[in-house]
Amino acid sequence: MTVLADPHPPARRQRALFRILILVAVLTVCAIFLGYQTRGFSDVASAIFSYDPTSADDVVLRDIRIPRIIGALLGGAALGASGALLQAMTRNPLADPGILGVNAGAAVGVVLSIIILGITNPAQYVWSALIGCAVTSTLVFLIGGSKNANPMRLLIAGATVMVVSLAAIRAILLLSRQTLDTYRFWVLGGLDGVTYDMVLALAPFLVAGAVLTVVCSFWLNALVLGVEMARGLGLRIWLVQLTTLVAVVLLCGATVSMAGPVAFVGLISAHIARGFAGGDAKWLVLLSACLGAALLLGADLIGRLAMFGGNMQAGVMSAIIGGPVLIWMVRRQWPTHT
Amino acid sequence: MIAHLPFISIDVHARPAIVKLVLASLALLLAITALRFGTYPLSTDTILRHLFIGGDGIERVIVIEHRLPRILVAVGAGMAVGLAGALFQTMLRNPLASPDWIGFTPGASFGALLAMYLTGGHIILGALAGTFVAATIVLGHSMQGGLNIQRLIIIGIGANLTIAAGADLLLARVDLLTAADMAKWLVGSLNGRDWTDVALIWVGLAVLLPLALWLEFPLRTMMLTDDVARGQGIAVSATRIWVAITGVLLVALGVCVAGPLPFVAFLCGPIAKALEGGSRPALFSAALIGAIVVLAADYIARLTPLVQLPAGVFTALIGGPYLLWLLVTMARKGRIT
Amino acid sequence: MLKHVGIAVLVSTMLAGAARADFPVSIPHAFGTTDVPARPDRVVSISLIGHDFLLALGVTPIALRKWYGTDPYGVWPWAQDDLGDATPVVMQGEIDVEQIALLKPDLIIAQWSGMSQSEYRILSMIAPTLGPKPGAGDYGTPWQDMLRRIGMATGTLDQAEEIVSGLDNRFAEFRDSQSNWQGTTATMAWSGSVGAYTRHDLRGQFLEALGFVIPQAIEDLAGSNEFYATIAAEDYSPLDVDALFWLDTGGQAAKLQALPLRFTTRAYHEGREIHIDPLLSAALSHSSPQSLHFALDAVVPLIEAAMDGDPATPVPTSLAAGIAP
Repeated sequence: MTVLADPHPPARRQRALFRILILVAVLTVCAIFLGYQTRGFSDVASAIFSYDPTSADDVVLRDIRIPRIIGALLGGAALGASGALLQAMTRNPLADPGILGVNAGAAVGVVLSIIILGITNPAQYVWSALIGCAVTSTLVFLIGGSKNANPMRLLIAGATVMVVSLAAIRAILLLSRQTLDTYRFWVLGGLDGVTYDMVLALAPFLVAGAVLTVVCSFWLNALVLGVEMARGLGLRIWLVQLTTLVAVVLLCGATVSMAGPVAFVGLISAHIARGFAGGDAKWLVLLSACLGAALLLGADLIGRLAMFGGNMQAGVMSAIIGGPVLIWMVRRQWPTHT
Repeated sequence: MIAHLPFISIDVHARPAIVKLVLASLALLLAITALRFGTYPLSTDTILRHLFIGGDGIERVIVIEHRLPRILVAVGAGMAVGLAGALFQTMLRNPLASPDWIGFTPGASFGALLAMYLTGGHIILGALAGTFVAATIVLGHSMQGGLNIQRLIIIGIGANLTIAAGADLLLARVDLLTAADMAKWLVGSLNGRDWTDVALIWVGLAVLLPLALWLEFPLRTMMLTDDVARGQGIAVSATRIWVAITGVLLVALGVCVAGPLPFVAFLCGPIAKALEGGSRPALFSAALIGAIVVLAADYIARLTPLVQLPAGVFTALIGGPYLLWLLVTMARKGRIT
Repeated sequence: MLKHVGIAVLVSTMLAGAARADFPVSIPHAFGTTDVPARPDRVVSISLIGHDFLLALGVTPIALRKWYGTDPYGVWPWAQDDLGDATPVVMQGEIDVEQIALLKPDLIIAQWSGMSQSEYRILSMIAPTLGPKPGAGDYGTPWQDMLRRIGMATGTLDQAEEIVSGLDNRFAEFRDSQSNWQGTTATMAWSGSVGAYTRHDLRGQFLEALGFVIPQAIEDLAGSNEFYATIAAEDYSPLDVDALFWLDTGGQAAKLQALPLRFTTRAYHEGREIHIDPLLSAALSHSSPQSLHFALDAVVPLIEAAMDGDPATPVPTSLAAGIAP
C-alpha cells in the first residue's frame, strides 16, 4: 500500500479518538447506573462516599459493577489492541486473536490446569492461559508463516490450530466430570465474578503488554514502508514479529483468564478503527483499543440487564453477533475479484 | 497404459490402481479382523456359521447385531467423511481447507445436538438441517459471480467459532448428566450403531460415491486455475456447486451415524494424494483411507478393556499430531497455499 | 382339635407365603418390557448408581459401571460395607456390549445410565434389561421408584419396601421433631456462576422431603431448564432463605469468599449457610438409600447449627471451609 497521499488527515483521527472516548465515557456511566436494576444518582453517590458493606445496593455498585466495568474496559482494550497489532503485522484485515486460535490455546491451558491441577478459581487461570496462548500463537505463526505470501495461510493455520485445540479439549472433557462442569461455564466467556483482586493480579501482564504494544506500533509503522526500507533503518523483522506476538499473548492471555474466551472483538474494533486511522499503526492500535473497550463494555452491560436474566455471558454474545458481522465485513472486503 | 474394453478405452495408470487395490485390501483385512477378534471370544467357525447359515443366542447377537453393523457403519462413515474432505480440499485448492473447519461438520453436530435437546431424538433430521443451514449460509455468502474461495474459507472459520459458541451454550444450559452425554456425542462415537444406521450410510454412499467419482474428472482439471479449466470447456461454477452439495450431504450423513469424528475429513485427501503420486485428487483412495482410519479407531476403542472411550478420541489422537506434523513440514517447504 | 386346626392354619400360611410367585415378573419401561423369568443370580449393573441400590437390597452385582471418583470398585464410602469382600468387574465410559455378554448375566440394570434405544435392543437380546421408568426421562425417576423396580426384578421387593419406608420414616421423624422449621425456605446452590436447584431436581427433592420449601423465586428463574436456575450476578434475592446449602464439588470455598454480594445476604449474617463438601455433595447427587442415610447423618446436625439464626453457633463445615461469618 502506498503512503503517498494520506487520505486520513491527523485532524480526522483526533476527532475520531475524541468521539470514541466520549462513547466510552457514556457507556461507562450507563454501565454504572444500569444493570439488573437501575440505580439512581444518589445510590451511586452513597455507594462511593458512604459505603455500607451490609447494603446489597452498595455492594452491587462498588464491588460488582465497578470492578466489572474496569475489567471490561481493560479487557476490551487489550483485545482491540491485539486485533490491531495482528492486523498491522500480518497486513491481513481479518486477523483477530479468536480466529487465529489464540483463545483456543488459552482454553486448552485452562482445561489442562483444571484436570491436572484441580484449579477451579478463574483468578488462578492466568498462567495456564498465558502458556496455552503462547503455544498456539507460536504454532500459528510458525505454520502460517511470516512471509506475506498469502493472507489465507495465516487464517487457515489459525483455524487448524483452533480445531486441534477444540478436539483436545473435548476429548479431555470426557475423562473428568468435574472438568466438564467447570469448563462448560467458563467457556462461555463473561465478566461474571471479576473482582478488584483479580484485576490487580492481572494488571502487571496488561501493563507489560501495553508497553510492548506501544513499542510495536512504532516499529510496525516502519514496516509499512516496506521490508527493505525497514531493514535499512536497522529494524530486525523477526524482532518486530516476536515482540508483537509476545504483546498479543500477554494481552490476550490476561483477558482470557479474566473474562474467558471472547471472540471477534479485536476483529470488529480494528476494522472500524482502520476506517479512521488508515495505515498508521499507532493510531490503528489506539483507536482499536478504545473501540474494543467500548464494545466489551457494551456487551457486558447488555448481558447484565434483567431482560436476559441478568446473566448472558459476553463471550456468547460476541460470538453470536460477531458471526454475521464477519460475513458482512467479508462481503465488503472482496466485492470484485474471485 | 491403455485398457481396451468393448466400447470404451480407459487410460489406466498403474500406480493409482495399485494403491487403490492395496488400500481396499487393507480395509477388508481390518474389517475381517475386527469381526473376528473382540472382547467376547468367538471362533472363526462360529462367526462364519452365524453369518451365512444363521443361528441364535448371544453369539449371534455379538456377531450380527453388534460387530457387523458397527464395522459396516465405520467403513461407511469413514468413506463418506474421507471423501467429503478430499472433495473440499481439491475444490478449494488447499489441503488445509476441510469441512471440519469451514463450519459444515460443526453445523451437523450442533444441529443433531439441538435436536436431541429439544426433542430427545430426531438426530438424523437435526444433523441434516444443521449441515444445510451452515452450508447455505457459508456457501451463500461466498457466492459472488461463482464461488469465491477466499470468502468461503473466512466465513467458514467464523461459522466454526459461532457454532462452537452455540454448542458450548447448549452444554451449559442443561444439567450435568445430559451435558456429559452430549459431550460424548460431540467427539464422535460408533457405540450402539444398528442396521438402520448401516442402511442410512450405505444408501447415501450408493448415490454419492459414484457422483463424487464422476466429479473427479472436472475437478482434476480445475486443480490449477479456473482459466485453464474453462479453457477446457469445464463449467467451473456448476462443478463447484455440485461438489459442494455432494460434500455437504456426505458430511451430514457421516455425522448422523458417527458423530463429528475429528480430523478424518482432513487427513485422507493429502495421504491419498501422496500415495498415488502425481497430482490427481485421488478421491476413491481418500475414501478408502477414511474407512481404514475410522475402522481402526473404533476397533481400538472397542478393545480397550473396561474403560470405553468413543472412537472420536482415537481419531483425534491419530489425526491431531499428524496434522500438526504435516503443517510444520508443509510450512517449512512453503507449500501451504 | 383346636391344636390341629391351629397347625393347619400355620402350615398353610407358611406354604401360601412360600408359594407366592415373585417370578416370572414383567416390568414395563421406556423402551419396552422386561420379562424376568426367575430370580437372577448374575446381575450386571450399567446404571451409574445402580450398584448402590442393588447392594442395599442385598444383591451383589457381578459387574458395575463406575460413575466417578477414586473409590475401590467405584463404590462410594456409604456402600462399601454392603459391598463387603465382593470383587465385581468395574466398567467405565461407554456401554461395552461384549464385556457384558462375556459376564453371562441373568439381569441387566440400566436405569439412570444414558442407555439409548439401540443399545437397549442389543442388551435385551443378551439378558433381560431393566430400562428407565416411562415418562420421567432417564435421570428423572425418584429413587423410591427405581428401588422398587430393582426389587421387583431381583425378587427383593419386600426389602425394597422396607428400605423405602425406613427412609420415609426417617424424613418424617425429622419433619416432626423440627416442626418449627417446616415451611421455612432452603435452597441448594453452587458458586462459580451461581445457580440453585429447583424442586424438580433430586437435590431439591431432598430438601422438600426434610420439610423445607424452595422459594418460588428460584422456580421462576429456572426457565427452560427445569432442574436448576441461574442466579443473576447482581441480584441474590432468590437466595434469601432460612437455610442456604452451598454445594462444593471441589475447591469452591475460595470462590464463595470472592462473591461480594454474598456478604449482604441474611443467610450469611445469621450463620445460616451450610457448606457441603465434595463427599456430601456426591452423596446427595447419588440419591441412593445408603447415600441418603449418609447424607441425613451428616446434614441434620449442620442444619441444627444453621437454623438457630445465630452466627455465634457456627455450622461446623462452614467454619472448616472458611466461609463462616
